Amino acid sequence: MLNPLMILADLPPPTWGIFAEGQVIPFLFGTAFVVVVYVLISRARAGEPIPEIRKIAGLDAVDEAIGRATEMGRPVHFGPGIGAVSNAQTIAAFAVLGYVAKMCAQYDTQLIQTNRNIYVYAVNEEIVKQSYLEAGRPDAYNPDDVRYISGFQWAYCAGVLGIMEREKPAANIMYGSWFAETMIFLEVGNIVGAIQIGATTNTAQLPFFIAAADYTLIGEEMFAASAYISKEPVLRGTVVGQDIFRILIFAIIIIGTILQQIDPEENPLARILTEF
Amino acid sequence: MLVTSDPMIWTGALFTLAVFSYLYAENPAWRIAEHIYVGMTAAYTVAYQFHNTIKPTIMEDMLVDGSWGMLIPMIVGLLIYTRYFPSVSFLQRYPLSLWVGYGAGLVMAYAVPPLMTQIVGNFRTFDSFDNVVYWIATVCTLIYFFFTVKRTNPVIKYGAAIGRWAMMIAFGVSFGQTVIYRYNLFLSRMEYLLTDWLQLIEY
Repeated sequence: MLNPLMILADLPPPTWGIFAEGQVIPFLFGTAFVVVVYVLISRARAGEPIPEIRKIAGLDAVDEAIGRATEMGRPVHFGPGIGAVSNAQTIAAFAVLGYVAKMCAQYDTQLIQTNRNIYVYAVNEEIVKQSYLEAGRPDAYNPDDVRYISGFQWAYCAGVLGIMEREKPAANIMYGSWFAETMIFLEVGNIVGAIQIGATTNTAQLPFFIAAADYTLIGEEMFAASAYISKEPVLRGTVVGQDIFRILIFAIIIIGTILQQIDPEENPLARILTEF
Repeated sequence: MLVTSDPMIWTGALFTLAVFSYLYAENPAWRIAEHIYVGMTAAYTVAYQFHNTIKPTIMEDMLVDGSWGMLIPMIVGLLIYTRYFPSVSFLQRYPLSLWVGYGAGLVMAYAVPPLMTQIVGNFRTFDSFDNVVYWIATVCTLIYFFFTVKRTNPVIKYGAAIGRWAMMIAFGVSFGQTVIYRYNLFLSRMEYLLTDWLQLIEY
């Protein structure tokens, strides 16, 4: 039987007495990221300038889709993905749902919002209700339009298919963490003639969005889009902070690759990043 | 033809056909299958949670083992139902906040160390065509996701364009693989109908 004390005996001594091997750089990197994001959020909140997020192609499509649904007198369907409430993609979807709900309230267009996760459902209900209130149309809010279908992936899928077939939305906005149900939703959206917008970071599902949706926000674009749409300081600061670190990572890769050509066996940057 | 007499297989086969009937058009058979499926999962969830979480927690952990601390998460969980009482509905935010905070903390703790390994994985020696293609695709895809840098600079503009092409090629490969996998799922259902139900095929 494996003795846990034997495993402990083989561990190298911690760096600076507290960090396990190879954890110092990740800690410093993570801490620097938190500080940069905090500073940017504070600046955005105070109305001080921070780098602008460029407009994402396909963002106008949200307005176009809601406008089309309004003209046709048909509803808009919004799906937040099937991820948990703590999933970053689901959190990004909250901002976009708020925007979509406010637009639907202003144009008096029905918004059908379906959920798989009970916690996401609770949050979305609040968001939609609040958006109708902010749009000055609390009377138009219909609690039955925010729907919990099922906690099971395929039951949720079957339920949404039925809703789309029967209520024929003119716009289908799928924004969040999607999995194998993606193509089925998009196929039915196509059958009922809905304009479709997809956004996810799940790389296995992106091919389906690109093939079958009218507009797709690829990966990180969905976070940038939700920040761009909402103008929310927290989201803007976070996206700009992420971008700064993305550029930093880009620079590290360039420098690391140059060092790799000089001495492929002993790259000092690789050693620092993995061992320290 | 020997058709099975097993009622479970008959049920499975008829529901499979009801779902497949959607391929022709939305119809009552599909609708029945849809509603039964959604309803059954709701019932299953309630029964599963009662027998596997609520009952053992109360009957064993609390009453037998005396772990009365379990009352705390239970009360926090019950706060979600305050949404039905407008005067105290703000309390539902506490379990939600706890859940979101837990998710954010978990990501912060475990997302960064693998990132270092991924960065170092891109320090490629340009000694093969594969390595050069890999490196260019990775770096250009990274450029595509720069949101605060304007695409007027030629390096950024063309880098992002190459990155987009690299992603599209990768998505095409992934699409093909998934289509093949979906065929496998369909064939598995056909096997069930022809073998277990109609018993046309014998192994």
